Amino acid sequence: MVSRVLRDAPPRRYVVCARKDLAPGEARTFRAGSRSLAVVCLEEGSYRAVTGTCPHEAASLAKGKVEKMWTSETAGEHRSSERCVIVCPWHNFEFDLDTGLSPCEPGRKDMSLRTYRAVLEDGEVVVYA
Amino acid sequence: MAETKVHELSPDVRKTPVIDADVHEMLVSVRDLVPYLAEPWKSRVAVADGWKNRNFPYSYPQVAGVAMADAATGDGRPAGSDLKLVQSQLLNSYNIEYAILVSSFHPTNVQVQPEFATGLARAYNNWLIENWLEKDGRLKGSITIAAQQPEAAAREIERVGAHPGFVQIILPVVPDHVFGNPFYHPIFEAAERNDLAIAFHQSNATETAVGLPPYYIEWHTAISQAWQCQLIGLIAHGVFDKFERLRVAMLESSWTWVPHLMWRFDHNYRSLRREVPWVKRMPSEYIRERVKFSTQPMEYPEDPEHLWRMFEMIGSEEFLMYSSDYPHWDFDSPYRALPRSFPREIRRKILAENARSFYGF
Ligand code: FES
Repeated sequence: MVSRVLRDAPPRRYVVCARKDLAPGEARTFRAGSRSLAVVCLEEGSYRAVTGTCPHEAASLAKGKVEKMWTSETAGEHRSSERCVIVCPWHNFEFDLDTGLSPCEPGRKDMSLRTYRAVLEDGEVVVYA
Repeated sequence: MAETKVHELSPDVRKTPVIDADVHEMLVSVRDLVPYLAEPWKSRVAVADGWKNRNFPYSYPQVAGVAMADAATGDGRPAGSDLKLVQSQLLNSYNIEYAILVSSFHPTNVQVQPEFATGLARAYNNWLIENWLEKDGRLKGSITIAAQQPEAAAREIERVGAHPGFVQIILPVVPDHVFGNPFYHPIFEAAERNDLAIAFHQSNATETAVGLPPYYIEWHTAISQAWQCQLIGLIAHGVFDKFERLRVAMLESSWTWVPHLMWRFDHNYRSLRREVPWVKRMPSEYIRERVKFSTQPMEYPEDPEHLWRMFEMIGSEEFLMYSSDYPHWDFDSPYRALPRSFPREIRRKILAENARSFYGF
């Protein structure tokens, strides 16, 4: 029952850092209680927070790269899309920062990240986790 | 050598219907094509010291060369060049509903004079229709093309594609490039438009990852690498994304490497999708849904249960089609090649039903 209570508990508010400490395009690891999160500032200035360790072999995702997901409709063409992904520093798996899902295997639960609300409040990056 | 009697070749004739996905019809010589060639190509083949097809580089250590000894014609013509023998030894002996003829004549391997290669392909198709496809309704054929002229190859597919005898287009697994390259896409476009499959088979020009190693046994053990490269190329170049109805058959490639390739390719796709973002799905999904493999040469492990487990790992009961490779030395009998570790229902699918749905019989 304890775990159920925990799961249903309202998310707690965590202050990650000051706005200036997380520049657009950057990611950093943040501990929210027992959880490790990757907190990301997208190029256009909004924030995302996801599970901080990769479901593959547990690399620290914040050490990877945040980018607009590459897409294409024709062989040979590369288009930068609106979807943002974090690319793992080790084997380069991608995870969608809005959904936490792998673009390659969106149906695979064990290959996804949990997502958390991340916002700017009074000049501070705040995560609800 | 005397003509083989049916009962000598096949004492275990049974009733299970069979569709054989890989049977080789043979020219006696390229001069058979002379009546079907147009000038200026005709006289280049007709003259006594004219064009000869490329030879296989190895001398065969097998007792009857590339042929199964009992399929030899006995009069110097190559095994597989005599329709009557094919009918008696294969079609009638094994309750073959359909046999898919897969040409061993590949103008794609003629690396010079591309228009000549295209002319050869056209002549071969006409020869095949007249001498094989229209002689026995159980025989289905593969369209021969010269892939180095993709637009002309597409026109050839249009020209003969409506003939009810043709079910696919045959391409050799070449050593130096992949057919997934957009240069070849007119061929896939024509295949899709005519509702024909694309099939890949080895040829005299097929090489291993180290080219041509000194011994035939080395070549013969390693050549599945050539199909693997072609299959990887089709997926990586987005052929299955661009041609959403295209069906592909990998013939005589063996198939037990498929689980490894699917795992390796899927894992690389998770890592490297960004390089080929036009590929929309996991590579293994295209393979399961769009690609078939033929049984021969069947592996023969000490524990047949292991073979069944390899089959299960692929994750599709439909991916495998029986093939004999008649009249070649490594012929597999339809009633002996599949071990009892394969459930009866699966054996039935492999022997006929998978090919029936793939080719639309
Ligand atoms: S640890 Fe992240 S992709 Fe392997």
